[in-house]
Amino acid sequence: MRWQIRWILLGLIALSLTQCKHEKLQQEDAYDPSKEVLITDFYPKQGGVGNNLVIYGSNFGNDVSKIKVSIGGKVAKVIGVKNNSIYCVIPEEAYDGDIKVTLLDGNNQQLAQVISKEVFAYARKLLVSTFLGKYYQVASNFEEKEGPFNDCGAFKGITWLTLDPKNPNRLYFSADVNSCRLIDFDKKYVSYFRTDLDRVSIINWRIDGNQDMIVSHNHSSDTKYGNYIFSRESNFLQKKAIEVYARGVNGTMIHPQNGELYYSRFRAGDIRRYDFNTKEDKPVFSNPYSAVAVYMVMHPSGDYAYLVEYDKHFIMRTDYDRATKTFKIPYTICGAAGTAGYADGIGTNARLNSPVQGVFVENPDYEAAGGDQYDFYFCDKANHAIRTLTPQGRVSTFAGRGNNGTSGYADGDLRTEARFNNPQAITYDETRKCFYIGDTGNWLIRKIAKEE
Amino acid sequence: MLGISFTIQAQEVIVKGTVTDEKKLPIPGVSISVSNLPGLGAITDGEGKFSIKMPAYQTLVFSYVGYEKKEVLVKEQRVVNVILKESDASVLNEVVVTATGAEKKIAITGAITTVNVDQLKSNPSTSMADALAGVVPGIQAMQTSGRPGSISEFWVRSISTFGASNAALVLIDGFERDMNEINVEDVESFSVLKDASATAMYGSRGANGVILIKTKRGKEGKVNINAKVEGFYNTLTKLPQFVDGYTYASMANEAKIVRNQEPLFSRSELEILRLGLDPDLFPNVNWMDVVLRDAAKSQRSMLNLSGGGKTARYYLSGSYQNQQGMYKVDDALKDYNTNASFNKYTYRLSVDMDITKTTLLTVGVSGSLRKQNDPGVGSDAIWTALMGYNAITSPMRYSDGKIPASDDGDTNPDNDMDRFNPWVQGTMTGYNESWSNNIQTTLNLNQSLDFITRGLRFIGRFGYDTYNNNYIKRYKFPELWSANRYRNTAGELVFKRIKEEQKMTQSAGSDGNKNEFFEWETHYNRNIASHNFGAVIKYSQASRVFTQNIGTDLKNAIARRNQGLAGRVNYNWNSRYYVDFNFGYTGSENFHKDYRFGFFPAISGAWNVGEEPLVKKLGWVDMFKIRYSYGKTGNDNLGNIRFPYLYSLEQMAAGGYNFGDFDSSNPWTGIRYSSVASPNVTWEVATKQDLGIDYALFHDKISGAVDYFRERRDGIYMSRNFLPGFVGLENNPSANVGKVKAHGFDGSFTFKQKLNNVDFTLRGNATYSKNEIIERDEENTIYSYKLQEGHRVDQARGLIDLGLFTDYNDIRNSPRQSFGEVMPGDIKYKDINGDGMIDDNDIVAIGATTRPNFTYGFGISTSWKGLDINVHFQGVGKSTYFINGSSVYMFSLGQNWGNILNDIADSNRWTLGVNEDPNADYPRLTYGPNANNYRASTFWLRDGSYLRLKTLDIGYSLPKTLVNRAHLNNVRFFLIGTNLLTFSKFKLWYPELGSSTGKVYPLSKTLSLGVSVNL
Repeated sequence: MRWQIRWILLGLIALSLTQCKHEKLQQEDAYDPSKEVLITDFYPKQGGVGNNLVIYGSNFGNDVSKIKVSIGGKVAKVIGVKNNSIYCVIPEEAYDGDIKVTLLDGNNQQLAQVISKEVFAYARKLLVSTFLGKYYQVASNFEEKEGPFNDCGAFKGITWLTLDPKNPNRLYFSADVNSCRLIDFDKKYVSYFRTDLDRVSIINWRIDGNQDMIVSHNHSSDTKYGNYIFSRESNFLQKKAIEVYARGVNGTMIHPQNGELYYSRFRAGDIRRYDFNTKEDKPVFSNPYSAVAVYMVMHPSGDYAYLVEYDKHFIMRTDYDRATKTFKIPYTICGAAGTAGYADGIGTNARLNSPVQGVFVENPDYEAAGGDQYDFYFCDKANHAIRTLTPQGRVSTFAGRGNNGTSGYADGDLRTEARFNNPQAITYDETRKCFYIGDTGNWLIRKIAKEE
Repeated sequence: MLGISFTIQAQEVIVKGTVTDEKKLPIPGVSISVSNLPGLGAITDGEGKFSIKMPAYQTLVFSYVGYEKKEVLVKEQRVVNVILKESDASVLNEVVVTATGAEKKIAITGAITTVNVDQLKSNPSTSMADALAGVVPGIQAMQTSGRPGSISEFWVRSISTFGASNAALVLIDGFERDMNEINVEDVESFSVLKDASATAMYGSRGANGVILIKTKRGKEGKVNINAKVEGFYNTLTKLPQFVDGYTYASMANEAKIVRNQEPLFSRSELEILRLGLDPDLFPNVNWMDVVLRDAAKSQRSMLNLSGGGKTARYYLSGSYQNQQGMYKVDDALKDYNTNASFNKYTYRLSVDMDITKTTLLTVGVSGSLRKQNDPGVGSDAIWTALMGYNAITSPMRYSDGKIPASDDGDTNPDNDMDRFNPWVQGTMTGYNESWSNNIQTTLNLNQSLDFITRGLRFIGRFGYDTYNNNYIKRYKFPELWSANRYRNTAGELVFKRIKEEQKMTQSAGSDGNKNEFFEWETHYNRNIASHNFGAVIKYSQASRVFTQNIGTDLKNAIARRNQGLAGRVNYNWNSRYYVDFNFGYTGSENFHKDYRFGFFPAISGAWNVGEEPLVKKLGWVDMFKIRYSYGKTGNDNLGNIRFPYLYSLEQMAAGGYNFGDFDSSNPWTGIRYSSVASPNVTWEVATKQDLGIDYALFHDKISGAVDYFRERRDGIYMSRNFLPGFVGLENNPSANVGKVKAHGFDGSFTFKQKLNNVDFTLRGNATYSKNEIIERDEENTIYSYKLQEGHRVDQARGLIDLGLFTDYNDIRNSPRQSFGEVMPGDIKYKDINGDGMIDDNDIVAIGATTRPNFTYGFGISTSWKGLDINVHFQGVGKSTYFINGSSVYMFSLGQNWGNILNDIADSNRWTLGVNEDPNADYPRLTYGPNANNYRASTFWLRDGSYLRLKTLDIGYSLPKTLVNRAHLNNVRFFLIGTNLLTFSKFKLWYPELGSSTGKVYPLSKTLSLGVSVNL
């Protein structure tokens, strides 16, 4: 009995003690002018723009507004400061890497300054950035409009990006049922590119002297033309149909030497060849599946093309027969037909999920070995990534899915940070040495380029 | 008129005197009243003296607790000295309330427990059901939520059915009413009827046991006033404690790395988190602190008045009870309160009138109003979020003032309430108000028919209750944002709006019902020499109809009616040999007319060994009675199913019969059976046996009862899910096909002792039961252990774990586990059927059931002078449940949802390279789902048994002399602690909740301070 009472009393005391607990407000130490400001260490020791940097030391104070950090002479954004640590973000072009911490008073007057003995090793790297368009935090607030580069609204439905081969300062994109755009680098202005077609799937270019534009109308009628020529002469204002009925054109390509047009048809599931000279239109081969969208990208050599099977999640290759001037029956190069997934790997071991536009880009590493010099970069839409396919058939992820994620919107390091949302369109700008990506789900044009 | 004129004419006299006990010691505080003249009264002073002004030729009534009442007729004398005799409170005179009224305990042949109502009063809950476990032998209970206003689930003896209902029938003043709306202070007696002999009269409704509650009535005498005021201080018993942000992130990285995946957080991010440098993206929030108060206060007060004269007596009471919830509120909100709360108001009035010398008419009106408040999303959503949000999921608010929410990618506005952060849920989602009220009317006529033959009595009873319940939900939420995982290259946050602001909206609903009861009984009792004979015949009818929210289906508005005739014949010889026959012939119109009425007989007998002359000579046996009963009762509760003997038709959905040619459609929608008729459906039948002993020895020093019971339940109503396809039915009919047997014991024990001035009472009670399914409609299987047959109702089932895999050799040499790839540190299972493969065929019955099968309580009461201390412990055993959910299956829901319990993080868990113990408490971590580890098995089965200090009650009554000077009778101050200590092997959350995920409002630990006054 006695021990019981003792326990009970003890319990009651404990109970009353727990109730006396007050919420403690922990106040961080402020800067003490009588003491020295010190930088003892920082982490990481190397990196590039956008990376986190933690600086250790003492007497940094507790007010973000009263501390300035510069790295390589560039101001770094300070996110948090505790008396013994600072968290800031590496600024752009902080090449020199010297870390300087300045403490300010209320009037922005310098109170103390300290420079780190060790230097941050700044590495230039490929980065994903937002090139054009506005990211709408509140999706329903979006606007689609024409405007200068810094105020051109949202881009809905980006399907295919293409640079004018004669004027690399003009970038066009098609946007399915939404409006096509012309992005003018000279005027730094985005305007609507009017086609008078209700659904444009792809924009392509002829190889003749004028290099006229070919715009494909994706419709569901068996008695309507599928492709139109917009003449350069008219400044792409006037169009003339290629007088062949074509239903559901999703992909087109022009042979770089012989100039004939190839186009895929959705419902029929076949690839046809149109000869501008003879006006002859004939089937090349039938696709293994019908009622599927097939996008086509020609290798710059004209030796082969890739057929990107959007609905079936794989890519086929078709080789060009120079004797008959047409393409041969295609074969699978990567992915598994009908199986969506996400896996890097060789050929059919790789898994894709709704791939769309791709682009061939020369890889200088291949120069020594000879042979095919081009890697194929393509938008793997539902995997929210830009992926690469080497001439040997290895699929890897080039950009996106940052932090082991999937979709989203984040700039920065290609793999650890950047995220896309259903990217569909990609093109490579040889003059500026960068990729433009139609980040369809985010309604933006993103850019992948090396820091200069 | 006559009485009044007499009073006016009567001569007022002053009567004085002294009241003493048999030892000639004066008794202070004796209540003195004038019979038939309410309002006149006096109390003896410290020397036992009194003085009262009264008319002559009236009767003085002297009464005092523990003494026999004495009446003295005052004629000419002016001094009345009275000696009061101590009342004979022997168990032999204890009274038990049965189906046919109050009877002496000695004469009872069935298994009936009478509950000491005082033991229920110290419970701080608003519901009486919460006080039953461990106090009442034969009742097992479980409180699964501590939210204000929530109530315990309880059942009598054993769960013996897997049918729709295992709940006992609760009768208040003879009619079926809700136990939780009554104020415990109004309860006069509380009996639990357990065996067939005690419940056969309730026929098809008595199989799950019956609880009889009688409310207090007025007593003749001067007005008696009782008041009680209590204040409560509630803290939560056991709150799950979660790890801080840094530990969470480190463990998340570990979970990734040990499965050969990239870590989730980089080293610099971990540093930022550890140093607390980024409160937006790497916050460290203790949500429990943010949302919950340290303590909540509540109060309870009640007042009752009773008294009356010879011809009419009254009892009037009112009570108010308030419970506050634990949620913090936003101080800026002044218009309404979002905290959970519960308010209960009750009133009760009853008047007993002697219309004639032989006719007693009782009229009673009582009612209750219960109001409940809850935050807009409701408590369950808040607790789900409290368990789901970890320290780094989101800050309370972003530094720019935006209100965060966790982005689950789901845009359906109805789906993701629990993704709001807990602070938003608790304070910014509006509030829910609900209230239910009740008015109950009872009319009771008791006519003695002695003029026909001696011992004949007629009782008629009529009751009319209305009940309604309403809610208004006012719901809103603010604009919600989620910041991207990474800042942009400029170091700024990038936001995404998750939800547009929802302005306050409202919705309301209601339901209600109306009950009518009518009963009559005729009693006959006769003693002829040593032969005592009694008989009762009783007719009853009840109807219950839902009055609101009944939809368009005509069936819903048809009253649920029951009718019955019941009877009892009993005989005893010399109070030594008892035989008792009970029957119920009851019907429910829910069944087909051929199956509507059933006959439920029960026979019981008792041998009162203590009354045998030989035993009586021993002198120390006050009572020793052996009793046995055998009988049948029924359970007609099928849940909400109406008229199962009728079929239902419906228009066929789009499509119908196709009259078109092949590959073309020309449909005609026809009519089809949506459910086929099950004409033979009827009630479950329980066959019960009970063998019991009641004893009282050494002048009541030791007393108690032990009962052993067996029960078999036949004809349990269930859906026939495994009829072969060739029967040609589109849906499954139901039938009375299940069988369950149960057995067990319950008992209680009391030991009283007086040492000098200190009174001790030691009490204990226990209930144990085990049930087994004999038959159930289930799929045939080649492995008999997969059947529910042969196991307990609601038996836990799962794989048997053999610890964790030690290495890859162990994995190679073990049967293949078919749930997914395994690594060392994953759970290894036992191959039950020996086929070299672990799959669903290796699932067996493990452990017991979530609901306990063993409940016990023990305690001690002492009193010394004015001080009394009452300690009561309660515990349960034979309860096991699985733990799962996002706080146990760590990281199973990925990044934005789920948290890690401190107890688990600090436990002996399997860690690669650090602690590769095959007997570790938790397996190798996984980020994301793990089909092998995260499934029901003995690895996750926990023992739910516990023992707790349920009540500690310390009271101090002021000395009589002091109290009487203030013209009071009794003043007692008390301090009550509830759930102060709990001992359990299970540490993650409070064991009684029986929760597998811990995502519920925990029970409270309560301290209350109060005073009760009687005058």
